[in-house]
Amino acid sequence: MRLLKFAPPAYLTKYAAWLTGIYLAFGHGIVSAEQVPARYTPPTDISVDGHLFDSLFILVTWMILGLFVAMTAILIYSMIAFRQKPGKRAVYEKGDSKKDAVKSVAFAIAIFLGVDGPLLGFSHRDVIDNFWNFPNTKEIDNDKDVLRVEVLAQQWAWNFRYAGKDGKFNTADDIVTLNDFRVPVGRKVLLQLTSKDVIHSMFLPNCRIKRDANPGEITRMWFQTKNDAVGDYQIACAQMCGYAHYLMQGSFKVLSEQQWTDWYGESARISENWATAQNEFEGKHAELKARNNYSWGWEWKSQPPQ
Amino acid sequence: MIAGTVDSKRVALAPRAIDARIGMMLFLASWGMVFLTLFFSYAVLRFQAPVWPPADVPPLPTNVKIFAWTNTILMIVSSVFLKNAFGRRLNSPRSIVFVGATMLCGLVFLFLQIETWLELWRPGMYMSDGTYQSLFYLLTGFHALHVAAGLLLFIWTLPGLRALAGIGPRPTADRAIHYEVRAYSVSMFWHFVDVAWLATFAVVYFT
Amino acid sequence: MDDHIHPEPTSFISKYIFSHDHKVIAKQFIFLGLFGLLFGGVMAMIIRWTIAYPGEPFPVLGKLLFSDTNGLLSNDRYAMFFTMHGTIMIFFAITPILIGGFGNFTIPLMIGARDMAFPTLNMLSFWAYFVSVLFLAGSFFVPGGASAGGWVAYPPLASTQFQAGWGHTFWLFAIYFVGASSTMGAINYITTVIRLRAPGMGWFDMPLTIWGLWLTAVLNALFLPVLTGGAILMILDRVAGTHFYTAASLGQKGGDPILWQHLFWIFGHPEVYILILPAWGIVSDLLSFFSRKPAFGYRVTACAMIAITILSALVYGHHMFTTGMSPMLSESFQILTMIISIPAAIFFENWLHTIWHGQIRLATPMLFSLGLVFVFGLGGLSGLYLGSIATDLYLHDTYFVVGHFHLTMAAAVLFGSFAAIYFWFPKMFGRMMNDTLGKIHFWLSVVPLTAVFVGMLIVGYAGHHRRTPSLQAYEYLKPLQQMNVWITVAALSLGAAQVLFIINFFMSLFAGPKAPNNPWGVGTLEWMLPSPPKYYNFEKIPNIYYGPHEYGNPSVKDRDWVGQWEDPKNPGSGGPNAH
Ligand SMILES: [Cu+2]
Ligand SMILES: [Cu+2]
Repeated sequence: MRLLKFAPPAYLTKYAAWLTGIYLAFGHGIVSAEQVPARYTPPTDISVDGHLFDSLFILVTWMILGLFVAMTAILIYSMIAFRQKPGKRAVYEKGDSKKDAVKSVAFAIAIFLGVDGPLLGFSHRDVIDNFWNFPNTKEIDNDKDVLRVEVLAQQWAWNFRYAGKDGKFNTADDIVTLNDFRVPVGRKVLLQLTSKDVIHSMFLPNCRIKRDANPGEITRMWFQTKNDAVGDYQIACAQMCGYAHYLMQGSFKVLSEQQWTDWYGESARISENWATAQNEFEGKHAELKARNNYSWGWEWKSQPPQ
Repeated sequence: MIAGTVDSKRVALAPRAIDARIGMMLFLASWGMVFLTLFFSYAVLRFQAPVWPPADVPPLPTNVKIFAWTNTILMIVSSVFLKNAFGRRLNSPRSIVFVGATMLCGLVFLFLQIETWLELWRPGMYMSDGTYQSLFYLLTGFHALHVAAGLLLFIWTLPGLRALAGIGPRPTADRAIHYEVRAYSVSMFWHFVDVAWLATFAVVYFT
Repeated sequence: MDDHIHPEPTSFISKYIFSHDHKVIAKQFIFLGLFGLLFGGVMAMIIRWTIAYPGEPFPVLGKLLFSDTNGLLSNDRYAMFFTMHGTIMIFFAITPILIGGFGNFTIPLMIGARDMAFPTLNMLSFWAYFVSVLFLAGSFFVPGGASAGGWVAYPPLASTQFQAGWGHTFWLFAIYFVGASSTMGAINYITTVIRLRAPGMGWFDMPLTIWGLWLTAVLNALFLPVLTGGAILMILDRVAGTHFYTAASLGQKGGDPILWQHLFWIFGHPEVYILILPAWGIVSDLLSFFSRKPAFGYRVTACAMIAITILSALVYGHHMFTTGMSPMLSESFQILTMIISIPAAIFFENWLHTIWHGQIRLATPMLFSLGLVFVFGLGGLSGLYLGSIATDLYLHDTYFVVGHFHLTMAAAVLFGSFAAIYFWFPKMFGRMMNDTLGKIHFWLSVVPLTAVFVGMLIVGYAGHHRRTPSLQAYEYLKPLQQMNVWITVAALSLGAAQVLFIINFFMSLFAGPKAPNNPWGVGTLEWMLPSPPKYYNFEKIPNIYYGPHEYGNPSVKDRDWVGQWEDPKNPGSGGPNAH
């Protein structure tokens, strides 16, 4: 990876483009990318489960790299060593005996057990124990242990709703924000998602998870940030949701306990901001205005289908 | 059953007739997947609904149920007729009579199916009213299109059947195989439409 | 097939337009498919350009096509472009070249038949396909523009509420006709292989090409109808106001938008194998032909193909891990998906074993076959990350997925098509292609191609989600811009390298050296015929005595190959120049 960590010099990309024979017009410079240091790995891991993905990815990479290198080596070696020589014949070897068949199936099963096996095992463990091991909020109606958030995705923004002081959703003291997702550091966060129009997918790259937000049903997702995760991050929409899909980002802030208490205390003002933000957003995308009806929120589903 | 050549005593299938049978079976298997897809969709949508039919849908009128039962009987009878038509070699006017009877069943079926829709339209149940209504019209309508197609295909076989039955000039052996292949393929299609109706009937009226 | 031979048609129209001849229909499919490849490819170049060089019009074409937006690809057109790029490449490039084209060309020739079982159906199959092309091409010009919800067309984005124009409806019509065409083709291929194999040719005497094409036809016959069924519901939703895919919320009387995803992927996963199986078959044969060595473990390879065909029907749920499908179901799909690596491993093992200790001729078709093994290795292995839930939750809908399926479906199938074209060109057109140009074409393709798609794996791993014309909205994506520029540079080079192919193709078509009957020294049946074969292929249907891969057979002294048609008791019976 280190090898790749230099910026492609502008003249090189320009030269390559020339070479393609497509770049015929004169006077065009390639707009050089904003000079930010390049990155070839996922963004910072901020959740307590994120390392599970990272380590599993690395493990699989090493395993398949082994297979791939072996395969490529055989290919290249054969291309060189077994090139046709005049007058010579290849081995007349059909490999159609029972023994050959058993051997190749056994080898394939060995690869399955050796490579897919661990992958399946770890994936099963991580999913059951972590990624889909949702915290139980049945008896909880305050958000001390598990912060509950309702998410409404829409073309091309994210709405968030917190229960507020009364611990109940869809009441007057709810805190509602637009594209502004804040959570207290270290606390478990449980989200219930839906969409008001098309399918979106809430992607938290820093937490290594995503879940679709489907209109007409409620899905859920959970994560817990590490204790040192305070900072500003981003939410992405991973599912194609229209021509402005690529703009559908929201800010994702992990707050210290103190910042959180301060922010959560100002609930009324925050919800007012939401209305203003929505109006502003509508202004930018005129076609959304007609189809949107902005009253939303639901009673927390103690047992959503999944 | 179906003959290779008209004149052969023992019935051996001409290669082309076997090809056509295999091809037709493949086509029906393939087309059956479309029906299965629609039934699968029905199942998915139906089992997601808390109540079925949904509370705001009035129960189907008795008339409609009677029509559906009648249609089921018609379809079964038509298949029996058809089996009879091709039960022996296609060289007598008998087959034309039975094919005619099959077509009559099909026509009455279509008529009753249209009656069914009219019966439902009158009190105002439309395709766009909701998922239940959409599925009802989709499945019955999709099947009815097949009945209509089957009737047209029968008309297409009639000249051949006439020729085979010896009405008019006698066809060449090659031509005769051609006619028989056509008639047999269409009859396979009709049996398929029959089975498809039984499935549609069971799905739409009993689940 | 009866022993009599029908007379060759004489008029231009019955000979070249509404032809019943499988060889002519094959050429029709291939030419249309190559046009599809060109259009889809240019679209890909414009898409890549937009990502890498925001605000820069695409050279020449930009100003011509998008004069209203200063030569730039606007966001809505960007969506149309990637939607149509996917649709065109899958249904209008790969399908016609490998299945419609080489399926038609090779099946009768390689099994020793005079034509398909149903020649008229074959012709109809092409013309249904042509109608489909018209609908798809027309969809660019209807008000509102082409379909723009991705080639997967998930509702509600694919509903009239969000795509009001006729573009998506036309897209659906195109799908119907392509479905009709493929079903007709599939019925024909299956029946032909069952019924018209030359006497003596058992199932396990068929070339692996035929195995691949036959299994593809089976999958096509069974699973394309699922897409057709799903598309019927979608078009009713669009034109008749029904409620199959509408969401049960927000005042809509509800169906279920996820239903489409089920139907689409029940079709969609087998479709992956529909596209790759012919290429596998072709490459399995070519590796043996050019190593001058029998295909290692022929029966096991064929059985692995069958196993994969069956498995492919059971794994579609791995496309839906993030939808909220029940964990039980998800885990079952995960396990079934992983099982596919067993037959896949068998392929690789047998491929490598085939070339090992061979006498390898590095002709262009062989290079492309080896290239397929290489890129498909990358693609197949990268699939492991997506089949397992824990890694898919992060990688789903990122460029990792794009890189993965391009390496498998696109790159591998592209190389399979090139291998097939370079290999059968002499038989098809009676002229040789230029081998040197072909080799340059290969090396100038394989390097950038690997760079493009491995680059995509890397940016996907770094978090770049799909279908984004610009990365600038996200802070965490900005560091990926440079990598994306590299990918684009590689992609443009890849595109430019294809000019060599186009030159080689047309130059050879008109001025290539005349091809002998059997330029490669290969023993499958098409090589006993003149190049190009006569109208009805075989004057006398040959008897089959040997399997398709008799290379280096010690009982034959003077050459290292044996024709399938050669009688071991009566050597020299009908050699390559029998006619
Ligand atoms: Cu979105
Ligand atoms: Cu799949």
